[in-house]
Amino acid sequence: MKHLNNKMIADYVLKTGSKEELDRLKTHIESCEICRKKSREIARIFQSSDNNSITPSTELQNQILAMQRKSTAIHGSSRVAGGKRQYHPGILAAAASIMIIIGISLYLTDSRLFDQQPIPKQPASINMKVIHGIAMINGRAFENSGILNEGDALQLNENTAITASYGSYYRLKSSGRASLTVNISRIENNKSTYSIAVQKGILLSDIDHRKREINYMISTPHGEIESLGTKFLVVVSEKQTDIILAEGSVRMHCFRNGQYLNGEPGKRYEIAESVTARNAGNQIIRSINNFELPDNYPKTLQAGAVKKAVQATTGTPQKSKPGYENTTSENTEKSRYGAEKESMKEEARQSRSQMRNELRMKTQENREIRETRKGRRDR
Amino acid sequence: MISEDKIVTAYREHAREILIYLNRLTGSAEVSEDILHDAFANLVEYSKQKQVDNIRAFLYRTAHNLALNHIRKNKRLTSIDSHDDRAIFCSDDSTARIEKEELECRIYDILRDTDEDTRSFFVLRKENGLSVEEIADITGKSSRTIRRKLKNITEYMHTILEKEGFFNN
Repeated sequence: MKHLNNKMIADYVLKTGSKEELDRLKTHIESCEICRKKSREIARIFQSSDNNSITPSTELQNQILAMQRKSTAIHGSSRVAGGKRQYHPGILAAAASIMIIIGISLYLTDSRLFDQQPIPKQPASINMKVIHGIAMINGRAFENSGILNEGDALQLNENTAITASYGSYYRLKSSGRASLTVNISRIENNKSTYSIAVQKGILLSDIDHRKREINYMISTPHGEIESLGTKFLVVVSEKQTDIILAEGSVRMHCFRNGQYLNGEPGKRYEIAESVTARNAGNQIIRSINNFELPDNYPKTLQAGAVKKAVQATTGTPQKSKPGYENTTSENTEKSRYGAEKESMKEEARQSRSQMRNELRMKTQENREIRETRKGRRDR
Repeated sequence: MISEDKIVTAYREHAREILIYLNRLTGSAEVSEDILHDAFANLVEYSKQKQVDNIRAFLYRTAHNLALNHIRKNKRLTSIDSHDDRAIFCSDDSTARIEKEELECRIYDILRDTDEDTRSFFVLRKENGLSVEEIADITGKSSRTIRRKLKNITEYMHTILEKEGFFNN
C-alpha cells in the first residue's frame, strides 16, 4: 500500500481539502498504521499551547472604554456642528430672536450675573535681548531686543545667546541651530504661565525659585519638563532630550510611556529610546549618574551652572578645549553619548548571550531527561 | 458609531484570543497589549465613518497589520525578546510537562526562521484554531496561498522534529 505524504496528511489534519478528498484520506488513514501515526504527530504540532496565563488586563479595558467615551463626546458634538439635522430657516430665526430678547432682559434685570464672569486671561510677552549671534522671531531677525508672544516661533542660529525675562529671567543659548515656539504665555489669576516648545537645540533655564507666581514648562518632542524653581539645561536632539539639573528640582514627563520623574540636582537625565530588548521601541526617562560634559560644548555653558552640576556629580572639573565653536550639534552628541551608549549596548548584549546559554543548558537537560525516560521505558 | 456595549462585548469575546495571537507573533506581552489597544482605537475611529459588520475580523486584521509593522521595525530585537519568552515558557521543571513544553519551544524556534505570513497563518491556526477561510479574511491573503504555506511549514516542521526525536515514543 502506498503511504500518504506529509502534505496530504496535513490536508487531513487541517481539513483543507475538498470533502471527497478528505473522505479518501480518512479511509486510508484509518486502515494504515504508519499514516495514522504520522497524522497524530502532525496533530500534535497544531495542538494549542498552554495559554492560560495570557489574559488582557482590566486596566487595558478601562483605557479602551475611556477612549471610546471621549471619542463619543467629540463625535457627538461634531455631528451637531456638522448639521446632520436640518431645521426650517423660519424656526431658526424665531429661536434666535427669542434668545436675544431673553439675553437683553437678563442684562437689564440683573447685571450682577455678568460680574461673576472669570477674569479674562491676559497675554504675557517675553522680552528678549541678543547677547551675541543672530536670532529670529517668525523668520525676522531682531537686532538688540525683541518681544516674544504666544504662538511666536523663535530661531537661534549657531552660537547665539539671548536672555529673556518675565519677572524672573531665563537664558537661552545655542551651540547648534535651535528652534523654539511659545506655546502659552499668559497671566491668569495673577499667575504667569509660560510653556515653550523646543524642537531642537540647547536651552539653559534659570528660574528664581522664590517666584511662586510663575509656571514654567518646556516641552520637547520626547517629553515635558516642569520647572520647580531651578537652574537646568535642556538639550533636544532628534532622538532624545537630555536634562542636566544644576540646582533645585524639575518634574519630567515622558510622552511615550507616561512616566513621571522628579529630578535631583547634580544629575543628568535623558528621555530616550530604551536600549534593552524588552523595552524596544519604548522611550523612558533614564538617570545617568556618571557623566562628563563634552569638551566641545560652548564655553559659556561650561563656565556656568552646568559645569557646577557636572563637577558635583563627577567630582572633577571639566576641561575646556579651544575650537569648540566650529562643531555642529550632531558631532557634539556623537562624542557625548557614543561611549556610554556602546557600553550599555554591550551590557545588554552580554545579558542576552548569558540568557541564551542558560536556555541552551536547560534544553540539553530536558533532552537528557527525555532520553533517560525513553531508555527506562524501552527496558 | 460603535456603542460602548458593543466595545465591552467585543473586548470580552475577542481580546484574549487576539492577545494570544499577538503574544506569539511579537514575543512580548507589553507590545501585544499596546497593539491590542491600538486595534480597538482603530475600531472606534473607523466606526465613525463606516459601519463595521464583522468586529472580530476587523480587530484581528488591524492587530495583525500593526504587529507586522512592529516586527518589521524591530526585527532584530523581537527575535531576542522571543528568546526571553521562550526561556520563561521552558522554566517549568515538572517532568510531566517537559516533553510538551520542549516540543512547543522547538516549534516556535523553527517558526522564527520562517517568513512573516507563514508565522501568522501558523499561529492563527494553532493557537486560535481559525479555519483557512477565517485566516484569509483576517490577513487578506488568498485561501490557496494560506493552504500552501501551512502545508509547507507542516511538512518542514515534521521532518525536523522527527529527525530530532520528538516523535520517537
